[in-house]
Amino acid sequence: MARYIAARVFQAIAVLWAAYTVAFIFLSVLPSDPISIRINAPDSGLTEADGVRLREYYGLDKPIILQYFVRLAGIFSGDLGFSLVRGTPVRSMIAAALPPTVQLSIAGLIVGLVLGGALAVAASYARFPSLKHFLQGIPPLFAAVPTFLLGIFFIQIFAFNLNLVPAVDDGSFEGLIGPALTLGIGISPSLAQVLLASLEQTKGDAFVDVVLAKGAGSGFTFWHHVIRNAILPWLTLLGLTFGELLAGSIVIETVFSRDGLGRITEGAVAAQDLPVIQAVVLLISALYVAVNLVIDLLYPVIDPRIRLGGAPIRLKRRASLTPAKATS
Amino acid sequence: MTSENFQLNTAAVDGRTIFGREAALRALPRWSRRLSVATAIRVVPAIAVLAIVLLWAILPSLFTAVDPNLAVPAQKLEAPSAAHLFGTDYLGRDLLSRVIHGTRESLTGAVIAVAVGLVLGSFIGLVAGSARGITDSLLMRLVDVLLSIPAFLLAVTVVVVLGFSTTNAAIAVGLSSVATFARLIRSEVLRVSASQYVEAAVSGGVGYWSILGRHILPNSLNSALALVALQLGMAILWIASLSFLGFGAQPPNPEWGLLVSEGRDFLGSGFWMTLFPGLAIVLVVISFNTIGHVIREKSAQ
Amino acid sequence: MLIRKKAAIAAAAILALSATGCAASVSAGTSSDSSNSRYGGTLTFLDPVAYTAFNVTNTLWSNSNVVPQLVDRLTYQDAKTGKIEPWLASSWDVSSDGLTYTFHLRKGVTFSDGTQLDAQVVKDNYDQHGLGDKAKGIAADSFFTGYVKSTVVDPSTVSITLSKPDAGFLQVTSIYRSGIVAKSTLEKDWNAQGQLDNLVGSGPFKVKSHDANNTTITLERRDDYDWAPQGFAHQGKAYLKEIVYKTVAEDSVRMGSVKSGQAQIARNILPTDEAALKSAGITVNSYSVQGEVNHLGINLNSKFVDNENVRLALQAATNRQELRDTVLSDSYGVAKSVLPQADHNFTDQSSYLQYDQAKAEKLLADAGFTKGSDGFLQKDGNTLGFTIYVAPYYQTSKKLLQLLSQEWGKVGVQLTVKEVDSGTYSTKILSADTAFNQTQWSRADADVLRTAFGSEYGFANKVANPELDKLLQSQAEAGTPDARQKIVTDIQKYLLEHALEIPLYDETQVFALAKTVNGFATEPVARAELYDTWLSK
Repeated sequence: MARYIAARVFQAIAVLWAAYTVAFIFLSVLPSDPISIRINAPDSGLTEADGVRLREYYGLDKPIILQYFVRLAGIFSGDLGFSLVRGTPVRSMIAAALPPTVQLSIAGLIVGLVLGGALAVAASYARFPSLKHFLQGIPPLFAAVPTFLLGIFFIQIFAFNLNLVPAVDDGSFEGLIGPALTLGIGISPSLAQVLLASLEQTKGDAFVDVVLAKGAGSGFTFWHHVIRNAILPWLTLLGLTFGELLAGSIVIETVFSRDGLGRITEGAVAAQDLPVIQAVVLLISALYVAVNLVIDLLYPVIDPRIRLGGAPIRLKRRASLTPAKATS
Repeated sequence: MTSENFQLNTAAVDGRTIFGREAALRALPRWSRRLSVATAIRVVPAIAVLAIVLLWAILPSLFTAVDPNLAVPAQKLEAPSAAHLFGTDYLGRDLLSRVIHGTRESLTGAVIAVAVGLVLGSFIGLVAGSARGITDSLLMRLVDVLLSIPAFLLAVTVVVVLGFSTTNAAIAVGLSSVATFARLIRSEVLRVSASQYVEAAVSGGVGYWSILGRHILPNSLNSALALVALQLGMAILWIASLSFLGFGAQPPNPEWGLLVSEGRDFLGSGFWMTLFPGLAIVLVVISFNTIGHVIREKSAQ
Repeated sequence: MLIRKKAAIAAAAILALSATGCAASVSAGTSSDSSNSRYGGTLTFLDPVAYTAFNVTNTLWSNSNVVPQLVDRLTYQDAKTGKIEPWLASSWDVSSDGLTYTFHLRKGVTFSDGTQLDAQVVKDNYDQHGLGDKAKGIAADSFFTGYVKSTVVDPSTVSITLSKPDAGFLQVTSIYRSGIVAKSTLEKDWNAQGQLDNLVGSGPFKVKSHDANNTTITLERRDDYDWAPQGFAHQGKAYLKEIVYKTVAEDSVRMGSVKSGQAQIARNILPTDEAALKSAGITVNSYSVQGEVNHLGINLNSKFVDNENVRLALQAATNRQELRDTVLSDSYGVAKSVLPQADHNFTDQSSYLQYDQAKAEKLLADAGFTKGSDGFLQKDGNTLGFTIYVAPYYQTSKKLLQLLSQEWGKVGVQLTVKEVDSGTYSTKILSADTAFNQTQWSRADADVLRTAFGSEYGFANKVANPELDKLLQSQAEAGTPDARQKIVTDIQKYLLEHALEIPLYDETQVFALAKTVNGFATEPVARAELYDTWLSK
């Protein structure tokens, strides 16, 4: 187990380094840089000669490979550099942007889980076929509505027409409702559909009939057997959804004028603010890798039938046939 | 024992990042296959929508005689009426004509995105799944790297590098879905290779590439097809999102995402500019998703 | 201009009181009861563009609604008359050769960190503007070209030496980018100066708090502020207790927030939203930005536009009235010269700017262009076509350029509109392949034309033009206002006669003000000045 965790952590670090490098290569081929943007803005009052001085000041005149290693070394010493547009240390920008995004992601996740879960359970246990069909039709609809459209209409109706919530984030709880709902609705379809499938499948499995035949109440059966069995694919999906949550924040934070990682990413990408983009890519990748690592490690805890071997990669080839039998 | 369940556990025991999105999608509702009438109710409208939209894309002038880019300043921001069923936009252009003529660019974008993802992803997945060993490990690490950058962030970065246009947005979205396709194809290759008839073929002395061509590829086709349909829907959404952020289509081309993005400035004075292109996106995405799900259900039967 | 009047009427009571004696002696406490009730309250101001670094030396347009509240300048420019009046300098003398300006500083002025304003700190400020500071990574400010040095005469007198006469220099001392900051700010390097916490001025407000990404910035009133210029509607401390700035990029959200009372002021209101806001009882005020009109700058190194007839044809093919009526609103003036109508050096040159399709067609035919099979003109197999990039700075750019493309299309000129990110944009507009770029410099002095077109400055046309350079330089050296006005008129004529730019509309800033907002005012370049603003309860 220890060896497995060590291998996974090492692998995660390698993935992060690669992600950072990929991002650096992408950005170094960009046609412009923030200094040109600043010089060429109307009113800037700066000349090309000033640009040379500024580039020197920010170290942008050095060979690209040197810049890469300087930045990489900076990361290890915790120095992420300065935003070339705002002059703020990137570390403090990220530190300030992370909490609202995490807050939004968690709120969105809760909405998504509750909504997705409720839809799945309701559809699975609906007594009338027509109701069932109606409930089944909701997730595909949610999946087809662009997040930004949902956000725009939400603001228009709830903030402006009904004046129930603030349109611009003011740090209040009410301000979080719109973004969280929009984000939650966006991620709920896959959560609902996967849970629904597992529920239906598990319900049909023999052991449930056995448990019921033994006289267990259906409520007991639901919580102790059906849900427990359905939760595994859900957990996996959660790890993947995490990426969607962060990506969704780019659009949602723009629509709702919320501060956060997504918004500084959008701004930094448009202004080619390299240090900021690199830090964001690194951070989001790190979060994503960490969340999925934790989920991987949680599998055996939730389902003891899954054993983790010391050499996970080599195991795969033959393993595929045998364990399937273990499930049902 | 169902194939989905099989897949889940395979992935779990692999001990890797396990159970990709494709597997999650594979586990979508299958029970509805018992309700074939219900299936028909879902499929027929979806096919009808896609058929109309396809005609719009191929022969837009059959449906509207109005030039989508002709600005008639005197008629700007007119509400939907008999003369302009969808109303007019801020320059007095006919919105119905713009939605119809925008179909081609939106659909082409989605097709390019999926083609990029499918071709590159299948290649990586096939090689990884077939070669195994160190090649597999290396390729799958590459896929892990791609997956560790949230796809939309990747797409935004790529589109800035390539420049703003629908095609570039489509390529960006396609590149960010390479990992998904690679994983699906690889797992399909592994699944099919492990199946009894392939094992039989191997023990019968049939060459590997021949097996790949005769057994593995055809058997993976349905899953790939289902994913293609779903990804088409997703690509439309993502390209629209990129357009919304201003990273997509170029004016005056009436791409749907661009239409919504332009329309949002006029929510107070012309809601129809957002509503109709928005509806077009929603309907087409739902249709693609429905068809993707149905293919998956049929193939699971 | 409207606002000035409005502010003046609103504050008539105080003015009446202060007009009789020395305004400086009228402090807040002694004002009449009615104005006492004006003090207090928090105003939320929604800005459309993300704030960049807060270097005063380089206050870009995105920050320019925040910085004026934080820093004072040596002089104050009346937005209506363009006259330069005392502020931190209570008076000044100009040497007869026009090369030395001696400023006598007001006493008792403090920065928000408690330090005193004196001649040394003014010298340090101006040295950094005029000379830059290599060690700190600070570039010289192009508005200060010709700056030689500053000399401390005594603790409250500083004299500034220029290399050649500059009629626009006094005006430079009044603009927000020449705001005087404390020693603690100047000592920092370029990066550190860009951070809001380090921006210490002597303005009526100071920074209270802000988030790391400056999407929300809160300013608080300085209760000890007592050095407002006479041109302001009251004296003493500002009325508002706090100002909260928020960046809200979505146009509809800014508008809706003011409409629903969630914010009090929003900048950059879309022309199409003006009517809806007015009918909802929101005040929509527009302010003409002094400086250049919004126009297409022309790179004369590009294909086709090196031919003056082509440029004149495009000038005639541009239907400014249609552009204004369709994409903009009545708040915007149709361009009648290279300077906006509100500019005090403006002269009407609209005879050069008439829409005349036939004239355009004739000029192009004379230039040897013939209609190709695709409907566009061509010569030697080359289509008369241009690519123009949507300017990220103007919210209506994309819409306007699409309509312009149709207008030019009518005379057979192909104009392709492209949208790129701001990074790509900044490189594209430098390329000789890009003939046109939509731009505008704002500064309430005719010298703005020298900054934009002079070969030592902005060099808008990218091709040396000694004749134009000479005109631009002579207006800066003109002895009297009348002599200068004559030369500035000649410059306006010259630029249009040779079609060295294509004017579009008078650059305008449109603000939405909630019903509770009173006394709102702007600077000559239409940036908010919130000192006199108060909220009715």
